[in-house]
Parts: sequence; structure tokens; C-alpha cells
Amino acid sequence: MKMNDDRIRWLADGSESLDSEMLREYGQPEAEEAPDAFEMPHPRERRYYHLLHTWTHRRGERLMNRMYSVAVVLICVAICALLIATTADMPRFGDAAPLEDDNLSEFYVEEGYRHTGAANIVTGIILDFRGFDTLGESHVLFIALCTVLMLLYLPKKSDPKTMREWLESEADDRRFEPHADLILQQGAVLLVPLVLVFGVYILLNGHLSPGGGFSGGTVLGAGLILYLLAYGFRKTERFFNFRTYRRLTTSALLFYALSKGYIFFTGANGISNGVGTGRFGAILSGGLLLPLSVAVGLVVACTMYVLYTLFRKGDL
Amino acid sequence: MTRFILCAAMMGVGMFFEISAVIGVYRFHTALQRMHAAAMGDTLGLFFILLGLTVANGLDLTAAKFLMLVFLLWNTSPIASHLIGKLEYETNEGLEREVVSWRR
Amino acid sequence: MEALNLLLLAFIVICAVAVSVTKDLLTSIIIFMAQSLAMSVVWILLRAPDLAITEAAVGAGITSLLMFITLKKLHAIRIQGKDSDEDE
Repeated sequence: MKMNDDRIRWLADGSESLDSEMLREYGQPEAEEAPDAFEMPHPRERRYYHLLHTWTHRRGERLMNRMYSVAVVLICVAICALLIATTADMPRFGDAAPLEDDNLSEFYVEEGYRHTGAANIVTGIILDFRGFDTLGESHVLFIALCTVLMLLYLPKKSDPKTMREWLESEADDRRFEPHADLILQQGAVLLVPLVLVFGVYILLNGHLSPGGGFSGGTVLGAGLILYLLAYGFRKTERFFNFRTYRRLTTSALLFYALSKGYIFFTGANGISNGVGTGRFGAILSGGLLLPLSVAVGLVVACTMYVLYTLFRKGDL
Repeated sequence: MTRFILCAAMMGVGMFFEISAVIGVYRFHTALQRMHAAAMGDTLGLFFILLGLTVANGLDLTAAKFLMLVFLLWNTSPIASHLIGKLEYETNEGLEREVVSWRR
Repeated sequence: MEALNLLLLAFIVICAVAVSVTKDLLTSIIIFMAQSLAMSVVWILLRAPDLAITEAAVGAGITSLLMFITLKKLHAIRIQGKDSDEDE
């Protein structure tokens, strides 16, 4: 295997972890190790293996295929039956009768703003009455990212041979990506601040107008990804590395869990949080809604950005 | 009445560009030609449609939002087209055969 | 307005079927993007702008971006006219 130096250098230019020193360290090909000598099994064992092999090829495959089709049909029918049974239990589409007995939704719409202080009732519900729901959702994001981290994180000090192979394949992968493209950079100068400001606006205005933690967080994450695409990893690593991610996400999740975790024990309308709702419609109103949506937004933005970098480079 | 006619004319021109962009994306054969057609629809077509909407609406905050949209589209769409074109230029080895160049 | 709603819903259903029917993974991701965009318009028509923002940013933006990168990592996007597995 011949190393394509240009390609590797091109790749190394974009990220700090693939520095030229590291390349020199990992760039030297190692001698191939001789494969272990194959140990011949005993004749009786060989006969057994042969029988197994022929059975697998003649009968086993067909049996497996048939079982597969039967299982697929069974599972599909079971899921269909379950869904149809569930749907049959639900009220008819557009039927208002079940809502008349249930005064919870009425209460949410009519009295919600008095309890939460939010002009946007959606944010009021998802962050206050249904706060534990959103708590679970942000933790799901965190857990998903942990799984991706386990699968894709590439430790820098693995053995030289795999590192070299990975570098080569990565250089091959990223050969055609925009790399320090001048037009993209000039566009990003204009667009990234706009996108980030828009994200912050959605985030902070969530309790007054449509928006909130999730939408603002995704817009922020998209802005960060655009910045990364335009300027490369070296620029983003200066302000966002693994430690930043860890601190931001854990503190946001901890804050959320501390301020809303009691709901699990008391129910949604249990204890008031001690922060007043403020003047209706003002930016600093709604009690804990604003800091909570900022926490959710931080978690979502960090998760989006880190997912992207992990998929792209295997590192932050 | 004048405003309605002006708005309708603008929207018509915008629709013409949009439709020709869609036809172009389906009828052209190479990626660069298709990209060209799609970029026309994104920039000129949407510009004229939003201009027509501004004329119909009158100058107020909504019109400012329309102009903001035009500004954003004219910034993002050409950059995306440029990146697609660059990628095509770098990856497609038979580009010389596909593109007719008048000057060698 | 009713007609637009129906048109968008039909478009979404057709896209959802097409995603699973299409053989080419790249094409199916692009169809998925289109489905997400139509879905976000439907959210706006249903007076749910909160969801529309999230759907447009996540469904049409970031999900498809991650899927594109995954396809590239798996070498599932083939460069026209040559095999990506071979070293030129």
C-alpha cells in the first residue's frame, strides 16, 4: 500500500488531531506479520464440520429463510392488530365528546398562563406541566450521544497501524469536501452570525412566541455546523472541545433535573418553584421557563454539533 | 388596480422562472446544467415572486421580512450552487467531454 | 386552503412510500428531505409553528446531513463512472 502524501497533508491541514508530527509518527508502514499457521483438525472433526457445512448450505439456509418469512409476517400481523386495537379504543376523529368530561385540556388552555406565566402556552405546557417529559427527552438525546460516542469515538493513541489505515481511508473520504473554500467562508461571515442570533432569539423568546429549547437548539447547532464546514476543525476546536461539551451538557442537564426532578414525586401541579411568574408578556417572565429552555437548547445544540463532528471525524 | 396588475406581472415572471427551473432540472442531462437551472429558480424566480408579494402587501414590516428573505436566498443559494459545481468539477472525470467549450 | 392541505398530505404519503421503495439510498434520503419540508408546511397550516421550526431544522437539515455522512462513511455514494472501492 502506497501512502498518498498530498491527500494526507490535505487532511491534516483541517484538523489538529492529525498533525504532521503525528503523521510522521504513524506514517511509517510496519512490517506485515505472518498469519498464524492453520491447525489441521482431526479427521473425525473434519467429517463433522463437512456434514454441518453441507447441511447448512442445503437445508439450513432454506429453513432459515422460511422461518424468516413466517416470523416477519407474524410480527407484522401482531403489530397491525395491536395498532388497530389501540385505534379502535380512541375517540372518533374530530369528536369533542370525550374532551367535555376531561377538563384538563380546558384547564391548560384557560388557566395555563396564570400558572406558568407563559404567553406561548405550548412552551408553558412542555416545560412546566409536562416538565418531566422534556426532561426525559433531553436525557434521551444525551444517551444517544453517549452511544454514538462509544461507537465512533476514535482515541488518538491507538496503535500506529490502525491509525495509519484510518488516516488513509479518511483522506480518501474527505478528498472532495469543501476545504477552506473562499466563497463559502465569505458567505459564512455573513450567515453564521445571522443564524446564531436567530437561534438565540428563538431560544430566549420561547415562552412568548413560537419556539423554545428544541427549535432554538437545533438552529444554533446548524449554525455551528455551518461554521465548521466553512472554517475547518482547527478554528472550532479553539472554542469547542470535549471538555466544553461535557461541562455544558452536564451542567444543563443537572440544572434541569434539580429544578424539575421533584415532579416525579409530587405530580405536575405539586410545589411551586418559588420564582414568581413576573409581568405577563415580558421577556423576564414565566418563572423558570426561560432558564429551562436555555438548558434544553444548550443540550440540543451541543448534541447536534457533537453528533456531526463524531460522524465526520470520530473526535471533537 | 395598477398594483394588482403589477403584482400579477411580477408573480407571472417569477412563476415562469420557477417552472423553467423545474423543467430544466428534469430535461438537462449533466449535473452542471441541472445546477444552473435550479439556481435560476432559487434566485430569480423567488425574487420576483417575493417582489410581487411585496407590491401586493405594501411597504410595512411584512415587506421588510420579504426583503430579508430575498437577501438570505441570494446569499445562500449561489454558495450552495458553487459548492455543488465545485464538487462536480472535482469528481467528474468525463467533464471535458460533457461540457462544450468554445475556446480551447 | 383545503386543496393545498390535501395536496401536501398526498405528497407526504407518496414520499413516505417512495422512501421505502427506492433502491438508491441517496435518492431515498433526498425524498425523505422533501417529505420533511412538506411536513413542516403542514405543521404551519395546522397552526403549530413550534413544530414547524423544529421539523424544518431537524428533519430536512440535520437528520439528512447525518445520513449523508453515514452513507459516505459506508462508501455507499458511488462516484459516477468509477468504483469507489478501488484506489484509482
